[in-house]
Amino acid sequence: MDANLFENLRLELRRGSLVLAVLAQLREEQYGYTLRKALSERGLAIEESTLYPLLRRLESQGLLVSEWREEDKRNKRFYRLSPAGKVMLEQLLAEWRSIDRSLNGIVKG
Amino acid sequence: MQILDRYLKNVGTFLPSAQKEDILRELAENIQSQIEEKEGELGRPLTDAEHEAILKAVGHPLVVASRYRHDQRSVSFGREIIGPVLFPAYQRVLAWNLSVAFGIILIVFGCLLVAGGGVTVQGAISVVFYQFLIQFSVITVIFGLVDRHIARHPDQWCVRRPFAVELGPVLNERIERDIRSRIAASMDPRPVSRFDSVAIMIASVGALAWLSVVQRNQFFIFGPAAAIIRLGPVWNEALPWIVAVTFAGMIRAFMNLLRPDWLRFRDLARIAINSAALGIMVFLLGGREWVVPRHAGEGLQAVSAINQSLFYCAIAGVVLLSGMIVFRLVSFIRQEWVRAHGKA
Repeated sequence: MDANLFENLRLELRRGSLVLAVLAQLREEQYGYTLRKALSERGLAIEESTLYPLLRRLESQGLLVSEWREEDKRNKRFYRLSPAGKVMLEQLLAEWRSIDRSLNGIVKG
Repeated sequence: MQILDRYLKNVGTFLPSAQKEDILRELAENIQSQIEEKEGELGRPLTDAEHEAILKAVGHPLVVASRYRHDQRSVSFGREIIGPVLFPAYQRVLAWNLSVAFGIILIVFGCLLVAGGGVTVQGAISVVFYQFLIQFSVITVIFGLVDRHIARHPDQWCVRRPFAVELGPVLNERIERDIRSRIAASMDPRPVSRFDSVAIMIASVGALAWLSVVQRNQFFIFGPAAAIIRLGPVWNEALPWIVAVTFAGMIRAFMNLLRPDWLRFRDLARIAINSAALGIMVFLLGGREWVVPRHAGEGLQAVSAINQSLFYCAIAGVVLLSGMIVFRLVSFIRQEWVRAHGKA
């Protein structure tokens, strides 16, 4: 019961951070597979079934742009931040830093 | 790669059609990247089990597809019974079952109306309501159990059979063994019994003799009632076909008497003969006047009552025979598939 509850709360906590992490990672162009690997190597493993729909959603919101291009004899879909995405990333990072400061203050008492 | 294609096809079934191609293309590309990287690491092509492990890590087709849908509808009675992952499949199955059920009800009521059977609006509504209630309850309960199972054991699914609920290794093995033995039994590899072949031939000769006698003297079918009723003209048209089908049955039995190992011939001949018999029944169904008065204007009420009873019997016969043909056809296709692939 407690384990389940912890898992649910942990997922909830991570959900918002994932958007920030994906946007930050896509300051440089990448395709889905390498993006997932890069996030995982930096300690933020994300399921494929979560990452790809998230990329689509961010693209439909105008924060990402994508294009199909051939690399290593295979067509891959490359994603990068759109100009609107860059602005949004800066705003979100400022917000995250503010939350982080506040939380640190609250936790430390 | 067959297993990847099948997996993508399963995911695609539940994706929004507008984005389906694009999503599948990207998903395929991602899985292919993983396979290539793994092959690079190992320095050899991956085995089937390793391919399956990669697909399993990607996720159950229903779960993967659900993440791409914005539709988060579910079925809840107080608490959630069927979640957004299973909802599209549930909706599709329920719609299909209800369509088939209401289609059959429509045909039956249509036939009854044409035949002048006592059909009331109240009767029709109660049949439709009960059908809806039964289908809805059964399908909702089944999907509710599957939904619960997926939520509790998200990893317990098989890549090759993603829509088969995993019941644990021991139970699965038993079920699989049972299914295999059933298929083996239904393949009926034993030769056709010579006793059966002889019995069919004798019965067919008897039926032909009886048809010949009945044509000349209808007492042998109606008894004393033959004084007031006789067979309608539709029977004269159908008779050559009835004789032909009976002969075909005899020939089939005779061939299997000589070659009891011709199982495929037996199966195909039975399907063909049953289909021909179905055709005759449908033709007779269109005739309506199976029994007519021997003398014009006499015994009209009795004739009408007999024809009405025969009509219901004929409808039941058509339904039963159709079911039998479908069953035999499906069994035959399944047996051929098992023969071709060597396993269930």
